[in-house]
Amino acid sequence: MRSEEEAARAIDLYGDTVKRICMIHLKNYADTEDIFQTVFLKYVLKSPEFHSPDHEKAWIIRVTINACRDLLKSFFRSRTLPLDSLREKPGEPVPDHSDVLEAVLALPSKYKDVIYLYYYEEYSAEEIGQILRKNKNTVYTLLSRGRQLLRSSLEEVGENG
Amino acid sequence: MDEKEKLKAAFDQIHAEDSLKTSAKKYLFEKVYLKEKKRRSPFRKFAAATVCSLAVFIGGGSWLFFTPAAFISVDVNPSLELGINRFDRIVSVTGYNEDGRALARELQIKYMDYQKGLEALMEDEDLAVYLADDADIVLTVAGENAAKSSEILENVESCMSRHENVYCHQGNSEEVHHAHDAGLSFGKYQAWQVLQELDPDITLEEIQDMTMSQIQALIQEHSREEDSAPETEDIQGAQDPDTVQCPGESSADTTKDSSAGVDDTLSETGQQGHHGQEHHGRHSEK
Repeated sequence: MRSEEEAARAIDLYGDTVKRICMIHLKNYADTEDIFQTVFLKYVLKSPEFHSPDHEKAWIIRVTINACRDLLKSFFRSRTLPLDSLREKPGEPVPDHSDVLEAVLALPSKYKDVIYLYYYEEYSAEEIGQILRKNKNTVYTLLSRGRQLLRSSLEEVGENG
Repeated sequence: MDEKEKLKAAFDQIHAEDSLKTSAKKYLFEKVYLKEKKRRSPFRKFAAATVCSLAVFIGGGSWLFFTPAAFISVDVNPSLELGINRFDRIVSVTGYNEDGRALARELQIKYMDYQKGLEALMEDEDLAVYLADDADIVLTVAGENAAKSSEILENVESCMSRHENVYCHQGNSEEVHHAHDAGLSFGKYQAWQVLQELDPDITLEEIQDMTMSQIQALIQEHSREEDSAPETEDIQGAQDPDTVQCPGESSADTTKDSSAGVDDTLSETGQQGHHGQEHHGRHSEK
């Protein structure tokens, strides 16, 4: 089991990454809070051995993506709608580049992770394959389709804007 | 700006809120570390050990304190029995007949030192009523530990030396159990045993509410009857040389003689017959 200090360090270090993945999958703060607790509880209790900081980060990403999928798949979620998704959140600031973010959020969920990992985290197709436990060629396919979808939606926004 | 840069810039704006990080840390602390700290806390181990040893200490101590190591049976008409623990404190006051139970309820001698308790008993107004007619008081000491019983007997004797009509004996603990089973105090049970030897028809119920003086009168009466029979001489001859009468008693009249016989007979059932003699001497001189 990892110590309280190690857990605090991991939360500070990987909190942003976990939050970004949560953002592309989930729509409300309470779910994101749940994912944070699940991911870092696993980190503390399972305490896997990491060869490098990159290995540690990849582990956190994988566990976060799986936790998000589990949450979305759960029986309760598939049949209910969280209350805060029904109303606009007043306190949430509107970020710049919101068109890009909206385009990513609008992607079907199977493309979201690949696009995020490739463009933002700058992983290679092979590394993405390892993280998502998918074949390298599958990753390429997902990536090219996702990119097309993203591009077309951004063009649409550009034309409309 | 190409799409990659746009995407990077967009995601760069997203940060985990401090509240999110804090709530995750708090959650881990409550879920994992707090429990762990409680489990590991040396204070908890120490506290558990202290509670256990305290329980053993209190349990053992109260067992030692509340278990009588010896009994002092007080018989006039009221039959009382005082349980004495190994710290010389009175831990139980049990009445063995109606008067005894009434007296036991009134007496405030529990947890007193037994010598002070006996003094208080002798000065008690309720007991004084029974002592109005110079009634005899028989104190019988019995216990598992012979040395302890002897010590108590000696103390009781010295404590009672200024009172008249007090007889002290020592008995054994086995007889105490028999007496308790029969619902009698030990002193009365001993007297009954003596009386039963002389008159096998006498029952426990009959003597339960008799005064010790009455029982002794009965014993005297039966002894006189026996005296008139030829076997009596043999019985007297067979008496223990230790229980010979005091010089004052040798010239006593018939009544005194027979009362001496009673006391000796009583003493014989006990282990230390000579304790009774001393008091008996005083009784005869009266």
